[in-house]
Amino acid sequence: MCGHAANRSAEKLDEARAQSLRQAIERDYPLLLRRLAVIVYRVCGRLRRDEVAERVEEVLGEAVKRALQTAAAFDPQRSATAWLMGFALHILQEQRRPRRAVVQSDLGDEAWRAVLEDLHSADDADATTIRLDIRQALARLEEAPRRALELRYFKGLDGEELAKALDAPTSGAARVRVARALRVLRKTFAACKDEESHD
Amino acid sequence: MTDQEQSAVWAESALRYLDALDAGDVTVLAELWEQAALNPRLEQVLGELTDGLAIEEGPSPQWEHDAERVRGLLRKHLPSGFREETEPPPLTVRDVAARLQADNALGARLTPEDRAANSRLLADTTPIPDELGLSHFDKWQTTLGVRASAHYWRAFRQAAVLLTMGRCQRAGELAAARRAGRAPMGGRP
Repeated sequence: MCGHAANRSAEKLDEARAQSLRQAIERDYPLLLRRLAVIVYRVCGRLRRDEVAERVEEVLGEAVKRALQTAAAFDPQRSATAWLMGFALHILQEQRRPRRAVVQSDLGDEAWRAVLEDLHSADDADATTIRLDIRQALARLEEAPRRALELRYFKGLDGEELAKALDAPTSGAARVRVARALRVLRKTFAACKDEESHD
Repeated sequence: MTDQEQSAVWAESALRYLDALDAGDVTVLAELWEQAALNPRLEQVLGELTDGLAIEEGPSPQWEHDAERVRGLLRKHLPSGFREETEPPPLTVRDVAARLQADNALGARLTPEDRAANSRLLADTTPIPDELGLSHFDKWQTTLGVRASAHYWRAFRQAAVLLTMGRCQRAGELAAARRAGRAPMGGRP
């Protein structure tokens, strides 16, 4: 009897998880399509627009199918949308040729963290060596990335304020500009350090 | 976590994501999204960047504008999420009575007593039995506690048979569609 009751209870739990997953898929499907399209567009290279759409539909369809097949393993504490994105990306990876190597930071983690922390600080009085290096690297940046970093880290703008100041259509777009600028700064900073070591 | 620490974590996550995107490293992208499933802050960073990239660097987010296309895909990928594609509920006395009432030609041929009986059956949710042979049906209809003419019960039985057949056909179509759409099992995670 106890065994049957436990089985029924487990079945109910599985059904509740599957239902919760199904609702999340239905609710966030357009979002999943759109985000996956961005990733496919960037990582699959040289695909026409209709080919991107076709690949996204194929990958997401398979992801939904597999997710529902393993719905019992879905932890409702997780974000279903992010979980599905992970699923979809594994499927995309299965379908792709051997990957290219990831670009790694030119700096060690500790040095890079120091750069980020320093960028965030608006206190000019504490002029450390690393701060001078960053100023030097910043000065070498083009106007657009330099402005994005100054507004974000020196003036402390974020969200809608940052988007408005950068004339970006959304706060997400503004954050992309900041992230892109950080990447340029990282390369420039590394180049400055190399020049110093050669001198 | 202080604002400064949050900002550093954001920048690290954002750069790792952009690096992986630019390098085409789908494994890292998948790992980040898996971590994001348990980390709302990271999910926000990744979502924000992905949406921002669509606006900044394409492709333009036109998916949302084509609602019918999205709905069609969702129907294809998640068929049971749509009510019209689920199994029909069991046929009830009420369904048959409603069908009889909706049929004007038949209604005109019913006596006032039979129409009154039909009205009472409109509230009866008893399932129609699978066996609708005449002898079974005659015995079963007495359990409903409604008196009507033999003419009425004949019409009721015929309507019940037709509606049952229609549902069986629909259920068969759905089962065939599910079989056709079922792909081999497998995959991860």
